[in-house]
Amino acid sequence: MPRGFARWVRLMLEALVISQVLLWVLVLAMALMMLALLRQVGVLHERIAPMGALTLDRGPKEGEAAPLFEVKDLRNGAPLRLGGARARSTLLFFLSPTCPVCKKLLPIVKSIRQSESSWLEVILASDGEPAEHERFIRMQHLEEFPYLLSADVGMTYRIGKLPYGVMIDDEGVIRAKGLINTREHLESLIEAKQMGVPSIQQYLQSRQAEAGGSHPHDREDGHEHEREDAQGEDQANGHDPLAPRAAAGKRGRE
Amino acid sequence: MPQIDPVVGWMAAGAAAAIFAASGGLKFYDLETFRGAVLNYRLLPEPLATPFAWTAPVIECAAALGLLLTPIRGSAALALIAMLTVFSGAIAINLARGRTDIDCGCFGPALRQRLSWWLLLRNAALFVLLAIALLPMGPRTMGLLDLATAIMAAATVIVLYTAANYLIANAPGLRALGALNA
Repeated sequence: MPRGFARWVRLMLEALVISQVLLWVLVLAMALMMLALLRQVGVLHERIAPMGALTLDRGPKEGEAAPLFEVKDLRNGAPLRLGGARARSTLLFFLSPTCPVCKKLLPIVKSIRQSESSWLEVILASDGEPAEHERFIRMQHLEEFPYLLSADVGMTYRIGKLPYGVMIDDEGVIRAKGLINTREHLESLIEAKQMGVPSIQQYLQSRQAEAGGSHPHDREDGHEHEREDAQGEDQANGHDPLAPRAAAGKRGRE
Repeated sequence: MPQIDPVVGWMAAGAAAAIFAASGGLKFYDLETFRGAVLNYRLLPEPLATPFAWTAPVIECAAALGLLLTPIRGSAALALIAMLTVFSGAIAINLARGRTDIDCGCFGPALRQRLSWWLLLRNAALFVLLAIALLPMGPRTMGLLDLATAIMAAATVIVLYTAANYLIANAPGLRALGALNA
């Protein structure tokens, strides 16, 4: 009896060891599968996220006249007029020296200023201490941009997050606006001006309406194409839709 | 002081070591982004952000290594607990301020997470891991099977922790989609 029992215990132990190891392998494999699944969910979210500059429904709306402002250019104190009829359209680019995404976008803003100068004037806007901004202008070589410091302008446009762009056409009407995180967002503002559609979301909505109610496939197709063009640049620039950004705390909901 | 079974102790120490080494390494990999994230918390004046952005990942990595060395495991765990308290406090303050749109900065550029209470819950899980690593281990001799169990359990904890972070990172995307379709 004792010998038979000892043999039974040994067999049982062997079986338990094997089952234990096997279970751990399977548990780890399941955890890995779950991780892969969640990553895929994240990628899917990114692919179906709205493509254009994110429009936050606050402040003056697209199609409305831009509020009139007369502020001083930080560089030389010359008066800067915002709103009203102008020779060229205006892109107001709200930024801050402490916002990493703004810095990443500055080269693109510079190239837009040059390539679109025939019809577009780019004005940089922020608020805070002039000295800090003067240092920022020197370090980032922004001497060629009109630069305004005004909490008032930021408050009127209800800028909660940076960088933020507002496109005002030559008649002083707001054509498009939105939070800008990538080159595509910035370009979407320019395209919105040229195509006369305030935001990609509205463009998609109007297309959806044309197609006769909700037809999800249609919308996905639209995204697919834009995404493909966008992705190459996106990676090249290393932009990320959720990159850290300085929320303009003084103006936002605080 | 209560003792903990070595299998559980090594599981916690190993998993915590890997988790903190990875998060410190990712922060160090893109210091400029991490510095930006630190500034976004609006708790440190700008001149202090750079030294903080340098030292935090270094402490994280060093303490992570210390968790694997038995003589200094306790102090390494204490250092990480202190650090995690600072991070959690910073998140809680900004949640209270309503600044939920800033990036957590927890994993440098690798994974963007907006601030939410879920991050604090996740940190609570890390506190538990560190508390286990803080306890002295019992005298039981580890066999081969114990070693296998500790390694596999630590690996599973690491993978589950990463998976939970993806869940947290995905949440705002899902909410945005809901708002878009509504």
